[in-house]
Amino acid sequence: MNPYSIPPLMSGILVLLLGTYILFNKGAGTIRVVFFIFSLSIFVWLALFSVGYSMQDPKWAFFWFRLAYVGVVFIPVTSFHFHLEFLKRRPVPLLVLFYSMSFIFLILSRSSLFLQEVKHYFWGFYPRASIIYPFFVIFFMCLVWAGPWLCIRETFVKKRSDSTFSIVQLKRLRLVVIAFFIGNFGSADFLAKFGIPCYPFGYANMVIWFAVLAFAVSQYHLMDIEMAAEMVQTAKLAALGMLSAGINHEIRNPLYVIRGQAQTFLENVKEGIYRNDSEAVSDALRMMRKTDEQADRAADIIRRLAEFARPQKSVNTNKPVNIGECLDYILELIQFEIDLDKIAVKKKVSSDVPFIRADRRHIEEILFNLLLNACQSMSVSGGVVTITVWRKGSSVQVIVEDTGPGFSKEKMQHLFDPFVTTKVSGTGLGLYITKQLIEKNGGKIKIENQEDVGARVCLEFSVFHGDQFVKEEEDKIEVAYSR
Amino acid sequence: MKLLIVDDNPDVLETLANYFHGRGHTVKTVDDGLECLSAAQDFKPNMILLDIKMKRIDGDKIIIDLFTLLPGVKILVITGNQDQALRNKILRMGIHAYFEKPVSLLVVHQKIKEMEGTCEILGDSRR
Repeated sequence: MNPYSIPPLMSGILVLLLGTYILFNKGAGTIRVVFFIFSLSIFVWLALFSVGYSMQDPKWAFFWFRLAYVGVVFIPVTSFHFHLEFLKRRPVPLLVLFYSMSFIFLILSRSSLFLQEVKHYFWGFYPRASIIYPFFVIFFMCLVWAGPWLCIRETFVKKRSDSTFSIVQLKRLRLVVIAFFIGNFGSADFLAKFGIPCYPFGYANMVIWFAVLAFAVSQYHLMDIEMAAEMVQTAKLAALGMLSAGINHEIRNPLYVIRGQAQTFLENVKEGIYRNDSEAVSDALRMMRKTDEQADRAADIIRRLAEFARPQKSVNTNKPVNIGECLDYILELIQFEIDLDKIAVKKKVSSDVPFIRADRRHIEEILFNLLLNACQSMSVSGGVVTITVWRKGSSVQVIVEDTGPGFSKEKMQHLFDPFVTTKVSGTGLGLYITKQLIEKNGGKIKIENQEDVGARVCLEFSVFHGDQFVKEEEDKIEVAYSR
Repeated sequence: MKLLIVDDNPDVLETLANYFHGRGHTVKTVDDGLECLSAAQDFKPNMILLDIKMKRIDGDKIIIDLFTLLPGVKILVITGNQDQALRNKILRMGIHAYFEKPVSLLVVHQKIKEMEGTCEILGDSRR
């Protein structure tokens, strides 16, 4: 057995393991399938070359190397396709063209114009390129580098245009680029095929590729949540899901009353309790009014929830926002949860609080996340949430204090990291997104434990100055007219 | 039959009181768990229709006290609770029925009629 044949085999197995893991554990989706085919191609390449190295007979070695091209020819196209899927692009004709070319190379790889006999190097036999082979190398290089290039371009474009939710996405992009960048240097293996005695260390690059991508999968949930906006919406809905106990309780009561009223009337009629029609009618009227009222109540709860859950279409962080109003709106929304958990809410909004410069729905979401967090920290034992809003120089400060257990030292270090959660049903995105939203609205957040008990969250937003707004509104109108 | 109805929602109380009053029962309503205990002592009901999630104190916290206070009393829990753990805990406390809102009043009534025969005359049995 040739010792040089072991590392490529090991590396191939690692790559295939990652591909298989992602295919079966990260749900459905083209990207996972493409990634799997890519890792399978890499595996075929490395495993069969490993077999080739250990052959004594050059004929057999050549047989295995040639067979390895069943995998090799699909490496560039699947790598490129993976990057496109990652960037959510799907230029079908282009992909069809590249896949077709890969199949042509697959057929050509059977011919002696592609690869010719093997040459013996210190690590074992190695195939030699023939006339058509350089074309394959060009095809290979173009495609494997096109993917990372598109990703790098995307990174810069995203950074400039979309300032908020792209941090995880940016980190993922970066890791993918790093992984494939390093992996692509594995193509130095081509040198030996042209007679240059350079040891084909490509498998080592694939080990690094594996490590970087495995890190991205575990830390940044690569291929789990593709789009930032979707991620925000997912987190919002998950947070709303935590209100379900309170909402459930609150909707069942009106339904119960409606049903009870109807049944009472029907039973009364059935049992002949009413002495005459007018008595029945007056009772019915009273009951109908009650029923109507209760239906309104249930509908109101649903309406409020739906309104909050609706994805936001446009964002304008440059508008005057009355933070007191936002606070009332959110307190109303989470009222049932507060009641259910027997939490007392103290609200202190000083009368001179000016409008802040922000997006109203963002502010609501921020308050929602923070208040829900505070309430949940006290859901077992009950407690008090104190919300203070006051003007501090040229900014408005919002302080949310609870009487829960506060944050442990460990938690404190990872407060704003994504996907870190201690809740069973949490997404681990609540505080992460809250911070992003606050920063997008030009605000600041600070979280600390209070001296005696509970946590304290301080938010700061800048005061809105009227003329800014007017000017921007005018600009918009001008644009509208000029179109 | 003396019924004590406990729920923190006034509309629920009114609906239940109206129904059972119309069916010939003597009804008393309270909207709070703490008041329920003193009302139980004074009113000495044969049956208690008890809500669980309430403002000051939850129904499950007073079930044991109610049984101590009125050993023969029948407790029927009517709740919007969906928490399975809490449900199991309540079921183990020796209550006589557990209904989820919005349960049909006819079903509750049926259960009350079934149990009517087995109710002790309260008042002397407390000793």
